[in-house]
Amino acid sequence: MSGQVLILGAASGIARAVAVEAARSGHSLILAARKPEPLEALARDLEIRFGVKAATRAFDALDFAGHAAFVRGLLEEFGDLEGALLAFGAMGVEEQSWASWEASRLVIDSNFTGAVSILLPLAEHFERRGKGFLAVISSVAGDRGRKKNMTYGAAKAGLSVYVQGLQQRLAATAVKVVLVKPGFVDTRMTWPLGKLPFCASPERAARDILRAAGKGRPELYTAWIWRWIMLAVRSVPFFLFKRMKF
Amino acid sequence: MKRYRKQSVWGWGRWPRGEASLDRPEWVEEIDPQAYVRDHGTFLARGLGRSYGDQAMNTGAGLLLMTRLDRFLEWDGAAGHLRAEAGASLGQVLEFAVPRGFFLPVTPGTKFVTLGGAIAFDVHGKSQHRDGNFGDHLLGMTVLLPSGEKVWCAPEVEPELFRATVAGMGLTGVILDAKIRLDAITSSRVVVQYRPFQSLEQARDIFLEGDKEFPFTVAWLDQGVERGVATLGRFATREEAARDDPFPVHWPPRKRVPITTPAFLLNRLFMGLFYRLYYRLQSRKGTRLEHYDKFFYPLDGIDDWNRLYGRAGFLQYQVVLPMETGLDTIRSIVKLLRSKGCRPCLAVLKLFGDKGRGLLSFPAKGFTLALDLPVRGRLLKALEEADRITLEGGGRVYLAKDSRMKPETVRAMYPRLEEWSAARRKADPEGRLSSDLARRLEIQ
Repeated sequence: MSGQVLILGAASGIARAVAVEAARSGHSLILAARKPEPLEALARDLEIRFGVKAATRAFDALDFAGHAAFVRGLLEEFGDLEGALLAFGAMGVEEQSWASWEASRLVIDSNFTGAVSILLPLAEHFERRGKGFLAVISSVAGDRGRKKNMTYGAAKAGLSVYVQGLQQRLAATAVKVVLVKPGFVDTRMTWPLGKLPFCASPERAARDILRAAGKGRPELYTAWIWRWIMLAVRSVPFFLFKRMKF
Repeated sequence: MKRYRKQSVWGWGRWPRGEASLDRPEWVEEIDPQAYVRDHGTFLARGLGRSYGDQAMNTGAGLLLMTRLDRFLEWDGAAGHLRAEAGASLGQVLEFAVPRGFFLPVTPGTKFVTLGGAIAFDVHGKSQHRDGNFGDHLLGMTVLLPSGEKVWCAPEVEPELFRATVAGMGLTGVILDAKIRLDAITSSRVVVQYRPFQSLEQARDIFLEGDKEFPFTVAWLDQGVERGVATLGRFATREEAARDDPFPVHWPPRKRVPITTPAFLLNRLFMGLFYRLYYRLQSRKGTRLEHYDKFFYPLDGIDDWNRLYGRAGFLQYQVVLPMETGLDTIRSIVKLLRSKGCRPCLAVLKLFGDKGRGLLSFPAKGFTLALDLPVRGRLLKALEEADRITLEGGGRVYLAKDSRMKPETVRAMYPRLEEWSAARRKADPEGRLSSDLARRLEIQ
């Protein structure tokens, strides 16, 4: 493995760890985020420590109209993409989403609409290429709606279903489409929540993601225990669920 | 977005403890002095928490955890110059440098120290008498002042800020990145000689004699702080290393300390037996080849070894004393502590060469003695007397290890404290950076 890997939303903690692990196994990286300047430090780091090439680009998940041109531009410039990771998204604050449609829409667009919009040209590239991997970070929050994060959860649920469809669509090719559902991962997003149970390190999550992408596992929970935790959460009957505080 | 985690923090000695609000940025751009001042009044950068006491604590205020800022930014493989973010640990530097034939020019006894922490306490290693301190190999660093201004400083660029930041305990600004010089090595194994001695004078003679061949010297002392075993080391040549790969790197910790040692095991009888056994084993080792990880970082193989000292925590009393009278002063200190019923769990003796670049750098020509002592009520009183003996003996206490000294003692021990304070006030005129240590020692 040594082709180009594109990471969208490269400023996130998981994305950074995936970039490191991908570089460790010899991939060149294209790191993209809304604000690409901070990514320069990561690009230098990957080049120095692993001797790979790393470039940074600006990418705005909400600039739907520009997404096709963005992918086309990358393909023209770098020739090929062997893999892509969608790691962008925004948790938002549920009270704000509840209070205003604008806030709700921002959460939906950054997690779902923007993802569909960029997945169209990306999936087209991979369909044409016939192999490679496309990993999409969704969330366990999409497995059952909860009042604490229902907007975020709904957007991620939509994303999960979309990726499942994509998997079926690309099933005839050798492209590996992985739906990633992280539980708690020890990043800046979860840092203020304090010490959390079953919290995976970003390095662990990254290794899981790349292994799943290598093997072509359709659905990855990281850490693995979240598959069973979410099974339990989905199984709670409503008369109990409605009284739960989590 | 919320960014702080409120939690109890402590130093390596597990005493004292205090609650603070911690931010842990993933990117340098996320560091926000204005927000920290607005939300907490004062703040301070914290690394891997290997200083022993209240150095990296800021109880009731803000802490900036630097550990995720660990990227490498520049590497010159011909010169061995590396610039990296300040949260990178010495272990991470070695993982990169050793396979390329380089090593840290100065390393403390653990590799779980960030670059920022190594600078902030101007740490030293087993070759201090030859190679000086960490700061002596520092080519420059970026310091973020509380005003938000970023300043590149080096020995000749912004020299005042440089001298105040090296050994400045984080109180002049946040060290964002540092450029260090690495040394070329012939292999990553070390030729080590173990030499038992019966008195401190013998230890000194072994140090001075071995100095011709061995740059790394240190002596472990048994409980009486008189006899012990000196270890002398130098990097093996490629022929001596005699393996296919001359530069194997270290491995991650393999053992953990599962529980905090119950107090009854820390008694005299048990410790006495332990030391006798250890002395026997060590003194028979002779000359052998060791991996650098074993030689420089013997305790890094065990996670959380600080729990061995029990629930109450421990502190390390490290002093430097002049060459001529130092050994006698050491005897007075140990005699005093024993008379108060305080027995060190670990005692280490080393030769020091010269002082460092920092205004508050610890080393000076002579001997340094480090004693690990379990915290007890009577210990704190006894150490105040020990401070007096140290001061009368022309010595001083290492601030990286301290958690109990008095302001007036520090003023007497560090003659350049005034000069440092002036430089600090220039860098942080409003006193936005603070630590429990700074408040305790009144060096605001």
